[in-house]
Amino acid sequence: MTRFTVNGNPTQYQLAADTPLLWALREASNLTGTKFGCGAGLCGACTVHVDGVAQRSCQISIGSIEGTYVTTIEGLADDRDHPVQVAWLEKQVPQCGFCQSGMIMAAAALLKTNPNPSRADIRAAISNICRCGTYPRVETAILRAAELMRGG
Amino acid sequence: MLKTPPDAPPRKSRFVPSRRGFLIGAGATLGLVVGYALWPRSWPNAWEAGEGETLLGPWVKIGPDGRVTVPVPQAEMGQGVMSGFAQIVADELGANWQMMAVEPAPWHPAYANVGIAGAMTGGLPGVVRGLGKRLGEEAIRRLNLHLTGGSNSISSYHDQLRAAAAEARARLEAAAAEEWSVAASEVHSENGFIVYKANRMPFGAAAKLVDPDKEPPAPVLRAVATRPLDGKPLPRLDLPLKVDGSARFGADVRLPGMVYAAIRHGPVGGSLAAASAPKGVALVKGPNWVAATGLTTWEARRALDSVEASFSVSGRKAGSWIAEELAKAAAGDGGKEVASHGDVAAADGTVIVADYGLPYLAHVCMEPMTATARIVGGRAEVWGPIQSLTLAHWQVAEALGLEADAVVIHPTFLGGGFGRKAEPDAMVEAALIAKAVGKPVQLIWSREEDIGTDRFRPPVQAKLRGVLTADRKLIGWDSRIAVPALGNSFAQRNLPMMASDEDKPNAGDIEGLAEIPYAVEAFRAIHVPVGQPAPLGYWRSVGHSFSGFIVESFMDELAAAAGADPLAFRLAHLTDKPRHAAVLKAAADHGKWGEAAPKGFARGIALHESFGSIAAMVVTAGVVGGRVQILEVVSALDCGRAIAPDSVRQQLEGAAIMGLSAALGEEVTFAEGEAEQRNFHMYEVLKLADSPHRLATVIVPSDGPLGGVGEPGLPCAAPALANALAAATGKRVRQLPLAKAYTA
Repeated sequence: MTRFTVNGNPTQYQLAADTPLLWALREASNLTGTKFGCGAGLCGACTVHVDGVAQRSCQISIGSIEGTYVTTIEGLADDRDHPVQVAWLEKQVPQCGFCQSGMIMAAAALLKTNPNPSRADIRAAISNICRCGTYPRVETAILRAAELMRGG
Repeated sequence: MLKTPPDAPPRKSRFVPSRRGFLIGAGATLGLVVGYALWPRSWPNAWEAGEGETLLGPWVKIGPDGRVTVPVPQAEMGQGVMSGFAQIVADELGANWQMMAVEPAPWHPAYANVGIAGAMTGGLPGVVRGLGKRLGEEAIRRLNLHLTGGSNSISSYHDQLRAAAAEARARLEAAAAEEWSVAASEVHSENGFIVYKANRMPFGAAAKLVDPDKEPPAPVLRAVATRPLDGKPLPRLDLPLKVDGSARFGADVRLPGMVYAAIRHGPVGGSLAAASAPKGVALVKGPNWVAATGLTTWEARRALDSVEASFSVSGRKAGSWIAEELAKAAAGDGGKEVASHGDVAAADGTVIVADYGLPYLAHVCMEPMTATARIVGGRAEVWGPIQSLTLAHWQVAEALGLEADAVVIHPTFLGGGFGRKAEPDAMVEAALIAKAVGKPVQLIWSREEDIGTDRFRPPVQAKLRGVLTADRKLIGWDSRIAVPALGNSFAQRNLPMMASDEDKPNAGDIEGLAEIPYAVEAFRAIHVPVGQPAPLGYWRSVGHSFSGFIVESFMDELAAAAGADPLAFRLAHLTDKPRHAAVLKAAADHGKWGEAAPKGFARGIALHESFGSIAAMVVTAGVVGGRVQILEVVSALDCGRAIAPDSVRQQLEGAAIMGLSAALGEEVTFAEGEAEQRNFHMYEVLKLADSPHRLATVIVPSDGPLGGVGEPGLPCAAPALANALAAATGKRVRQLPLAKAYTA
């Protein structure tokens, strides 16, 4: 079966059960904010949340996540007001922007489990690749998002 | 759909210029001059206005709500060019930044990149520089040449944008003044309003009063000091879309009835010999590829997996022999002198010799190559990320046997470009597949295809010979650079009228090595264009991506041989280059050059001029537990004036990271005609965990001409890191990538 909830909407895909979640989201649900970057779980451009945990959607088949709750960048917040998105704009993080949905989803998941991460925590947790080299701002923006979440 | 304006220059039918036709055109100077003199200097109908909008020339459109829209012909690949163009217009116009908007400019001569005609920076890709010089501004308009490359967007378009915005402002001011029955000189524009004493008319209202048939009053440019936005960091216009997933990249286009395609390419320099597929698989064959389609990319890939294909390669298959040929060429006596002064043979003193080498590199844009195509009734539409609308129109038209104006290219955001997306190969493929299957098609290359069928940064082997006097003075610099001819490789695929059948030694292919900033009595640079089968392309900072490493590693080795401090040694040879010296000192100051680095670490310094700007970097690095660790990077730049300083900083940060990434771990090698590294587990790109713990940028105040920003920060990264690691470990590594040499 291929039934689960995507951004709050109960969804059943009429696609082969081995279809990676990435392609179902992009090409059946037209949720194109999640990006294809490598197809091998190496770059993180396709990162989404499955039951709140950051996952590389190119590595998960839709048949394996029956009954879960999937959140994509489109479902992260209304009005792009998630603290990570707010911090991202404040620090002007993106350049080309292609990896940024996955980067933001990875950062949001990190802050859920570790609301006060150190720089070392961030470096250990964020393994997404950004070819534009936004890493220094990614690090700063995650620290800022943590501050915003604490009410600062 | 772009309509041809009535007063636009006539489009030549199927204008894919042949080499012969081009040479005749470019050579017949008198004919050209007469022909171009009859052409209009501006194209008022280049761009269409929506309902209620007022066009104030080809660069400014104002909506009834006061929204100011600027067309941007340059590809937005992360460098912030959309915001840069909007900022220049907003500043001169007196607009409110919150009311600025941008659109991709249509493929029209009004938006051609005529700035490359001047090529004042000398930083353009060799082929383009040649084209610009040979043709001049009018011919570039005639070719309708759109190209994003060479870090020249701002310098090429800045003056045009300002002049257009000043003219639009003069029209708005004149219209408002007439309404108020006051002299136009009594009113001014400010923050989206035309102002006369206590009267304020919003741009939207003033635009409606503009009489388009009236000759505009002579515009006067605002002085830099009176422009409110110049040199100020502003929020980039494209970033909100890039934090909520709504930015439209190449593969985010959706068309009714569209199918998805997957593709497999043959080896470099190969061609398809035979292909077959099981029944039911929509197999499409290309010159050196096979493709299959499906209702999702996943289905298309499964279908492609079932395709049996064989490819043949004429000539020697790419392999390890290329590195051997390069080494042989650098050590030999072939090639040709492409730059020199003084007599290097006569320079007498201590001789230092060193060999440097760099590998093939891939671009690995995070967005793999992609395009979406639809062919209806003898017309083709193609959507995708592209750095040259012109090459895309020409090549899609040629592939489909259409006239160039029967093709419309819709540029999307680029998920990285770095030079790779100057070439429209994925667009051509998508168009051919769409034609073959009779449906709109979206083609997305796998990462394996993206790396394997890249247009590679060429590999290099260089032999450097320096001569020092007893008093630490550099008096001789001799170099033999073995590097395949990148310019000709690009031209053969994309600008056949500029290509030659044979690779020739030339200064363009060894830019940054044909000229160095340091004073030296005798200088010679020899280029050996070693033949090899891989397609070569422009990779961020192009030849400077290797010349910076070679020149600045060697400067450190010369300093060591002279027993001099690397900074002092460089400064001693920059006495007639005050801008270079100032940038170097700025990097040294902020990079704590004079202070000792933490134990086990050391600092390395480098300087490099490219694309009209001067950059310097200090890197603090060491090898800890068998792993290279980068503590700190300070990147300094003199780019003339920094119009959008935060975008400049972003580019310096990104260029440093990309340069360090290449220096540490990136390398493509070939076996049996195929790249051996096909995904990120083998093609190692720097991640956050290994990136510098501190990365600072310094914009050096300058009154120099506007220089490039996207690329100049890159070339210093490899030598500054190599110099730091050599100082920290006592082991000099002259062959990139560095990581494997330092990994225990």
